[in-house]
Amino acid sequence: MRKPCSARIFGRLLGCSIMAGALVWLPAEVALAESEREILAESPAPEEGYAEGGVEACLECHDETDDSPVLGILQTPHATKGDRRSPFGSELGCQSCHGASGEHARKVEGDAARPSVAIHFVPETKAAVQNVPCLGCHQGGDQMHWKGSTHDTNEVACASCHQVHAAEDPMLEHADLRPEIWNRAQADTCFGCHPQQRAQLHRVSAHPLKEGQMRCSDCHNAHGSTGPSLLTRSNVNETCYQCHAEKRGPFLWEHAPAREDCSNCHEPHGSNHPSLLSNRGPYLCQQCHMAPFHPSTAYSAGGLPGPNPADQMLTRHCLNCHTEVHGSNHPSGPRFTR
Amino acid sequence: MKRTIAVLFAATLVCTFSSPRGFLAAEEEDFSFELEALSPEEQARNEARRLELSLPTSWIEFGGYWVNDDSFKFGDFTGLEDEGFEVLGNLDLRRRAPWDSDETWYWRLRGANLGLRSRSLHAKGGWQGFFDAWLDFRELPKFRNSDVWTPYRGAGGSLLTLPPNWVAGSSTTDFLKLEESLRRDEIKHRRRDVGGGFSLILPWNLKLEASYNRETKEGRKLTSAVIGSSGGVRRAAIVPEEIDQDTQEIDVSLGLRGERGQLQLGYLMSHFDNNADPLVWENAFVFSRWDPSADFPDGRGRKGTAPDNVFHQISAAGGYDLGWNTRISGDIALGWMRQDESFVPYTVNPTLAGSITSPLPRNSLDGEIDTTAMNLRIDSRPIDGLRFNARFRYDDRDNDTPRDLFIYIPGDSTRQAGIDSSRARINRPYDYKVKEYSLEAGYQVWHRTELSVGWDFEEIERSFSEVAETKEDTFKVGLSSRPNKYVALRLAGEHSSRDASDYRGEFPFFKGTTTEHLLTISEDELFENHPDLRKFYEMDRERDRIRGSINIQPIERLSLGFAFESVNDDYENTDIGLLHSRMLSYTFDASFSPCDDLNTHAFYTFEDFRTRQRGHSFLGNNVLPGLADPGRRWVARDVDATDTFGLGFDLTLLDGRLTFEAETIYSRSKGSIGFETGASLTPAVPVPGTPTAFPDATSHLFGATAAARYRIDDHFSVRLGYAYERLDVDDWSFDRVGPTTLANVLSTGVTSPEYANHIAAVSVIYEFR
Repeated sequence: MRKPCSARIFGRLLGCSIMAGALVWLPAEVALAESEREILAESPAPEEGYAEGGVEACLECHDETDDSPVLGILQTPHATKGDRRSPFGSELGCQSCHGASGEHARKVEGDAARPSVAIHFVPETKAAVQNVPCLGCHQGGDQMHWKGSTHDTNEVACASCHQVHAAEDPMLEHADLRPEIWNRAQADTCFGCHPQQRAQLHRVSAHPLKEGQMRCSDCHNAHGSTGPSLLTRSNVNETCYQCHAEKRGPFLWEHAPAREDCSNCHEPHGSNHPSLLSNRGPYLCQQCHMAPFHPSTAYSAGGLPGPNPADQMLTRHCLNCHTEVHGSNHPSGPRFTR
Repeated sequence: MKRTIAVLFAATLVCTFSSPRGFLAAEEEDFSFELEALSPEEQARNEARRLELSLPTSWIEFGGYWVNDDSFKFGDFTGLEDEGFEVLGNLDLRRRAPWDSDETWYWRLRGANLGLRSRSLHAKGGWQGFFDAWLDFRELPKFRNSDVWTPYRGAGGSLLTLPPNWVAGSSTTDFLKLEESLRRDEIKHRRRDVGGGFSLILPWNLKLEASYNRETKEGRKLTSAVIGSSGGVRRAAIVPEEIDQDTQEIDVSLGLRGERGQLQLGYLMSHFDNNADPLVWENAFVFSRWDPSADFPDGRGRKGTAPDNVFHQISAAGGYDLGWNTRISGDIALGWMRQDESFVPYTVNPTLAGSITSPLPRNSLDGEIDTTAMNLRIDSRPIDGLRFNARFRYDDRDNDTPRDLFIYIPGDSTRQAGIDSSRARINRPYDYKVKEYSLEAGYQVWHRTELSVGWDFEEIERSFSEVAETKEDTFKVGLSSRPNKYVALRLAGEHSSRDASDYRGEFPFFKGTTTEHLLTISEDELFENHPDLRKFYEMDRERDRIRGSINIQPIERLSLGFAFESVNDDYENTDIGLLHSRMLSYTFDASFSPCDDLNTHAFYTFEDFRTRQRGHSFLGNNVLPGLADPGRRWVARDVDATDTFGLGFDLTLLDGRLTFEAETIYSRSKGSIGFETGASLTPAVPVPGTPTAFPDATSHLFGATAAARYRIDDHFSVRLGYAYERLDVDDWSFDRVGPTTLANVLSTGVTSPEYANHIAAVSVIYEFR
């Protein structure tokens, strides 16, 4: 129902005002605060536990022969000294992330064990501790809603998925372009904790993750989002419309469950039925349609090819006629046949 | 057991000879060590090596694929659908300023699958920390069916015609010239994306980012060309329909990042443009209950197309650290979906158009949905071991599309009826509003062991629907523990209870038709669906969900995992419709690295999804006695069970010069339907030859890949690859269904996919820094 014009305008203006207010509301310190990175960029203070010598001191011992080779980082944005925002852009170098590690770098006497760095990115270290240095730089943009997100509360560390020392981080955009045709570097990382989705993508009907043509991050923001299921957009449908804009409408004749939530009928991670449908037709349609005649007919095995094959059971089942189930804009299409 | 011992022995041998340090050498290493003074020569050598490794590696790969057989399904998304040779081409060229210089420039050009229809190119460059720009190009092929049979000519265009000698009939078996008229067609389409963007770091911690992307989608899809209204007076043909679509997207954001607070303002525009004309086809049928003008040879039908539409959205998102490990964050996004494509006329048939006395109420929809998404969250860890999360989510789709009366002409087959007809319809622009509240708290009861409890409340309001409002409470409890590096355990349970307001089955029907039509129906029959039907997505529901996982690492190189999930939905107050659904899934995972140079993994996943629904078959000309007859009820039980196995390894030999990796996947599924009917629906005398039970619908997918790369020197490598994939699907929906199997639907003869394809690949890789 079309609402009074004044009410609509008021609603929109209110929304815009909230946005404008957000700008004003954020304390001036947000915009004007001196970057912590800039403070840290000063020479490290040994009395605060930092080792001297910068990156070069660490590289005296740590190189490609380590169990975890580190020199790949020199090819990455984290190691760009000319960028003062990057970890290596400060004199702290590796300690920008690993914390004050003067004790670790000091010469060890006799058989004494070498102390670990202040922050060691291993499972024994709490995820919240590991993530502090990452969030120091990566808390805006896509990471805005990390704190309190599903992965944050489930103790997932940034380093659980990302490989900072490697020349190529498999999670990053376009890292999938490794020279393999069926490459799913990012998805394989996600499947480590989401095995059901790994199995589903091998079903007969699936999005092209198996072929490396889609990534989990096309639909999900693993760093936290405001939508359900960590979706990149506000709701399921807006996420689907990114690639299926033809189903956005609005249409003259709307199909209510399709307008509400695509996952009412589709299983996005893979299905044994065509078009990612969550159930087989015509039974899926009959979960909501039970009108006289053919919508309520009992489609038993008697409708299989034989003496009395049923139009509504075979090939495209109900879609043999009701082909525009996502909505129709044809004036003669209220039954979605046009 | 002997086989296990043999495998372990083989792994031991491989590791012993592949790794200079030998089997489990890493276990014996002592972390403490003494720094030794390096000679000047060693220092210089190390420095040179470090300098070399700091330079990004570029590479170009060139070679060829060989595919043994044609298969659309096998080539779906990859572009390897044709038998024969294809060019293998990949590249990654990159440069960046020396890491220890004051410069920050960089550029990179990547290309993948350059010889295939799934090719992509990505170029990016700029000055890190100041300006980045990128360009993207990508193609994605979709191969649906290669054996589509149709008598229509003009596939891919906007007019489908029948051959001149076509013999029409009221049933597909009457098409005497069908067999000689059938032509094979291929149903496929291609997406092509071209885009680019930039990001600019501005003073005061501001970042401006903008991107533009244009996707074209061209090809064909299958659609249904229907003449006549629903039920017994309609006839259909499955035909190819042109796809020619264009979607442009602009995304602009301005981000402000401070140490404690962040803000991002955004604008998103998505414009969909459909260049395909509405499909018109010649009617292949004749039927006595249509207007004669609708019959072959003069009768034609016309479909609509997906209308052009545009979506604008402005958004603001922000977060602020309040102190005491507490963060408040939220966002608001206001959107406008607009659609104002000109309507096609009620009918393409000029005779029927002449009968129109109630013309279209408007020339276009003037459709508009205003969307508002708003979120507010507070996440706090006020003291060590305690966390608290509270959030509110609001999602409103306010449909401002005008409502009008349309007296439609069903399937270009009859003259326009009056306002008291069932064909007098008023459109229903659905609104949808969600409010969701969530509270969750977790407390560390023991070392790295958290116990959490939570409560969610979701309220959904709908317009023009059977249920005006649903409210759902969810109570959650969870346990998460990682007491040491060897064990990680998670267990979570939820119970949800959804309550629907009064179910008004007739409400959408009343809102979608005219008062004049309602007056023609007896009061006892004022409904569209069975009065006891309850639609599952807006009905009372009790949901129990349990999931958990355990990962054990008994030794550093062995990891074992088990994960499971069960979701059980009961629609307790539903008599007709979906009564019950259950999903059960569990996975066993294992990975074992007997040495640094050999990694193996294996998994098995079982999934079971089952539903139970009840229906009631009744006829429109005998409504009340039909509804009263319990013998007309039926129950369908659907079970989908899927097993998926995976096994793989990667191996490095010859001090890193030879790498080998292999993986095999096997997935099988079985879909079973159990069907029961009441006594009134069972034919007293079974028709000979009629199937009495559904066969299982099955699929078997087996895939194996192996790839080896031998590094000849610092610059050249040779790569050999092999893949085998076999798919065998049996689905009674498609198999044994020829073009004339269905009396009223001229189908295409499409069958379930089946292939067994081999791919071999050989390539040379040239690397340089």
